[in-house]
Amino acid sequence: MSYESTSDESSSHQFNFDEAAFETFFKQHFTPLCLYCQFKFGFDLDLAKEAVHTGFIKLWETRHLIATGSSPKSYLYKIVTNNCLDMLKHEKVRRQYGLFIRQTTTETSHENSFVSIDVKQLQADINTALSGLPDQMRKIFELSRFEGLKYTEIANRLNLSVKTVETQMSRALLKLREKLSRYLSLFLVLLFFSLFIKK
Amino acid sequence: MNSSNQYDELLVKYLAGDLDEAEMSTVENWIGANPQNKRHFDELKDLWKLTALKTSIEKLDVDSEWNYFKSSIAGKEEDSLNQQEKFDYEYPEHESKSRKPVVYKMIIASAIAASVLLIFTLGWKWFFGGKPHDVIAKDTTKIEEPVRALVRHEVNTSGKPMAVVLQDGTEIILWNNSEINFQEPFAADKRDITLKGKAKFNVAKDSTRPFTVYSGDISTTALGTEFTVTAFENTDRIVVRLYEGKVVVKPVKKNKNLNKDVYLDPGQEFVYDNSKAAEVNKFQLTDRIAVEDMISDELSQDNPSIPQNTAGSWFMFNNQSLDQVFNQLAGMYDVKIIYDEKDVKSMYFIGKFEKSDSLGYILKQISILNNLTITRKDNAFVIAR
Repeated sequence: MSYESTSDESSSHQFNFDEAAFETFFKQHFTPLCLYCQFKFGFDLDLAKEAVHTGFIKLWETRHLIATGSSPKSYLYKIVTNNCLDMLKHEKVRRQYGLFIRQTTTETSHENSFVSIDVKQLQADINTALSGLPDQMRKIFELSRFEGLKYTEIANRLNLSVKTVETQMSRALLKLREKLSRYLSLFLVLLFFSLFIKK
Repeated sequence: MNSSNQYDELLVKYLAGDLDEAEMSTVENWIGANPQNKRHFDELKDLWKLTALKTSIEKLDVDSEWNYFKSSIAGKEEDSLNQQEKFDYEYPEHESKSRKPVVYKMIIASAIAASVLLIFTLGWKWFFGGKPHDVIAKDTTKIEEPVRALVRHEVNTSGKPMAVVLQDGTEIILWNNSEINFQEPFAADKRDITLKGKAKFNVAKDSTRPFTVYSGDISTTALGTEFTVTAFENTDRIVVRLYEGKVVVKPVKKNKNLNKDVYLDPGQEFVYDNSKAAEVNKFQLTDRIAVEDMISDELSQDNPSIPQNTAGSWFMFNNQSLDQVFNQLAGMYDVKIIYDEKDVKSMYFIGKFEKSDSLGYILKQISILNNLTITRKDNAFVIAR
């Protein structure tokens, strides 16, 4: 019997990962896992992809070790978490992402509750929230967040003072907080939860 | 919440990575000042991280990732199959019978800061919760799955002292057969660390957070000082020596041997003994003694013999680098494991094995998980990428 991706956590299917079943499993969880790595460890997409790919490879290679009735999702989840931790130890990564590591959150809730998020919904909601910002504020925010520009660079490019950039950045984030509040803290836990439970 | 408004701009700039070191410290201090601040910051941080997710969703093409994945495993399938056959053929279960006890030698690292010598040595008995002379790896306590990033656990079984630096700047030299556990980052109001074995602490000054080392029955609290604690298994004896600064030694639980706190000045030595009342002596404290001599003097009194019996136990690696894992395995099974550091650089391992598992089996599992190859050469295992 091959793995049915619609099954729920509690059923004890024989996880017989033939390639077709694994492919379904892979495509279903690849994106959410990348999001998880990015969210929890502050990785950029490439690093997250690396951690997730390595995780899937390990899962594939040790698939015979997965006990019947256990969830390959949580196993994979642990593998990917370990990969991320490994990568964090790497000097280069640590320097680059030192910011996030310095302030490690104590929210271990993400770990076990990173479940089913509706990826499309999340994308739509973020886009809506961003487009809801006043034009210049949005531009400034996007230049910083998505293009990684420093405040001074943004100020130069848009012909503004650094002070304006500072103010606009913080107002932007606060506005986004209003619009995306349902994704934060408690809700974030639950929403991410649905990722694993749903489909 | 209003007071955080003035900080919001700074916080957002911090998240954007646009602050210099000094500004970052200011922000971090603010964040650590109280839980509300931290909560506020965490909220902003989550939001910050959340916004980036949309680009990832847009960029990810799951189908091409799958194709990439398929090509990755195609080559590996063949390799690991070959390895498996080779393994089963080459390693009969001969290791488990010929396993000999190992005595770990203490090798002093060459660079040791002067005047810093904190040696905690706790009985392995405490580590494993058994009686003295108990087996080295007999586990009577349940140990959690070490997946959280929150608790950091450093074990040294490499045969020589290992340096560990903590987030607050504290430097620790961890001796062989020793381990430390602590929360990272430390709590906002204190720095606690449990030690089993022997370690040298150079505690970073932080007057807002006392640094306490828990070792068996006693705890030693320091405020930016340098001191050593020696506690060996066989003798149930713990010695705290203060070289510089100030420490207070307290019983973890009041008992007949120690029922109050004891403050030490430099040059004083506190001796805690299971069989009699605790006492405070003076010891020789002079700059002319080279630290290495001090250490070897301390060490010569040590005789950490490893119990012979290792049946029925398991051991666990907690996020240790592969070279540490191999060193430990080589020591435990008394077999040579040869590898090129480059090949295992930045590879780590979290896992648990039964002591009855053959070394070949263990190495096979590790190699699968890290995409390494293992071959047998005479009496040694060779590991390569």
